[in-house]
Amino acid sequence: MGMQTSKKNPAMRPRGLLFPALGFLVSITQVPFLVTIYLSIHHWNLLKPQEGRGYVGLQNFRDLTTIQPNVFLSVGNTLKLTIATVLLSTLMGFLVAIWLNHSFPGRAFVRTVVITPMLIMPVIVGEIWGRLFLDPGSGVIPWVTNSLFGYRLLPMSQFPMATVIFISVWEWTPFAYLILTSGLNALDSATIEAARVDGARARQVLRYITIPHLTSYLNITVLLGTVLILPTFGVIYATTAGGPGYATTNLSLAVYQQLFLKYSVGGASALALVNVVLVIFAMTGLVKLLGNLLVRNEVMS
Amino acid sequence: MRIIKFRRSLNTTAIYIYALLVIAPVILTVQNAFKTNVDSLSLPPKIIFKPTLVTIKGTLHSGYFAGLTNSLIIVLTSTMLAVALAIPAAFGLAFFKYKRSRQTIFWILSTAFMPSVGVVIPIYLVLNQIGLLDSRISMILLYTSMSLPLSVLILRSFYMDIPREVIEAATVDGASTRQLFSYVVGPLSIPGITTAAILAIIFAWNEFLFALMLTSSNAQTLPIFIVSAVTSMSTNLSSFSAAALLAAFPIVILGWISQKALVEGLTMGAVK
Repeated sequence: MGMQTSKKNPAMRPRGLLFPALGFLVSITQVPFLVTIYLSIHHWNLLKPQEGRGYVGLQNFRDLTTIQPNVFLSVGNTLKLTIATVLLSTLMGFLVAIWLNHSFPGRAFVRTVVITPMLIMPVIVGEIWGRLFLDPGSGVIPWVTNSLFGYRLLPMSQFPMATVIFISVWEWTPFAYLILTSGLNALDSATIEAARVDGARARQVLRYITIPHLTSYLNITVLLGTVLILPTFGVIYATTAGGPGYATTNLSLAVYQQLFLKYSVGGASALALVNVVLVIFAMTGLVKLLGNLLVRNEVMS
Repeated sequence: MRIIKFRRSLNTTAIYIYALLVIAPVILTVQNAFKTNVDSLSLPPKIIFKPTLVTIKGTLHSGYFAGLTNSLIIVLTSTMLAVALAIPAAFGLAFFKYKRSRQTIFWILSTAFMPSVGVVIPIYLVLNQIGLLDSRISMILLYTSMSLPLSVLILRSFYMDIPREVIEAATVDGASTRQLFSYVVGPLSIPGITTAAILAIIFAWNEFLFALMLTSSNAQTLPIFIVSAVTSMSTNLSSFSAAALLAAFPIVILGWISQKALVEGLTMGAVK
């Protein structure tokens, strides 16, 4: 596109348009990230200033295998929580989206109400489940199992990881449901009508038309869900606080503990980098998919 | 026919039950907020009870307004800043050809998903050093950087949808870039700005990790108000519920009325 006018007006030069945003992003996200890398190869304990802050090479990373919880445990917990939550909430969101995709009385209301969990701040989500449902004293669930079977089920201490996953699925199913519903809305009803007229059954329509159409939406749900769920923090902080022991400590929580319980800047930075590497792994797929979708109609001229 | 009708209403009933189960925790929380603490602790939960405003009033007087003020100032200022910074960048990326447009978009996308722990440690150390821990200004800048990448990408995708012909017609008529922006692109970008702002508001309002690590009392946002309220009242279920209700309802309502914006925003306009 010919934008000769912009040359006359230096303030509106195309590059000038990008600088404020990019400069801001570089200084507040890129620079601290680089400093995190720097810190991860230095020794620095806020409680032991006498030890100094020397360069220690990869010692912080080696130490990650011996700290409590060791890095394998927190990486394992992060992966378990993320993979289970992403798969289960995508599956649930998919089923619910298809289930609610016809007209019934009160549809608009139901479709609005079911997205509520994703809108509530994670720390409240955790507290609601922890206090109102799972707490040994005031929780509904131990009370129900006790009145029905004479046995107090205490999910947070008996099945901590499954409990955190359950709560995360409750929180994230609406996310999958929303994206997949918009996918269903974009599906041309004439195509389905034509298939129906040609004698296709509901199941065949689902298998040969709806699901193939939803593939890209499913991809987005899974990839976006992964990068958003990997750094989960609030829900765990508010329910199990990473316990019992370290059974539900994921990387975000481990970084928090290293920094605010052990004051180990180097250790926390090394753990944070492990977390970033995991996210980058998940992100490559997402950035490719979304990036290509986003630049698809790039300026043509 | 009758069987089909019966199956339909059975299905509809099942849908209602599902929706009820999904929001049961929310309903119970809202109910608890209007109970006395004794009522809220009774098991089975009392469905029918005499509602009272005592608990909510008590919560209002225990630091809620300080948290609300901080949340409003930090969230709204950072959202406005993010959108203000995003508009020119999105405009540029949508309408001009840069050598590295594609790479820039990919880079912005990847900063959108940088986990907070990857940057928070140096930020904590620096703010601690210069005495800006627990300050609104540092939270505003952080949340701006958190909302900025999504805002750029959302706005850009809205700009891309403006028909090229409209832009070309304006350019042929001799509009300068500035005029093009103020008279053509600006007014057309209001839906995009709304979408970006809604997403930014929701993310910032609910943000927890930065707030927990970098604020304590002066700049305490609502999520941290919840945490401190919870620690100070240990087993007071009704007070917790009132605090949760008061902290969460603005965003829940905003999300309810802007579902379309949620989808477009979360997928940065890749899904409409």
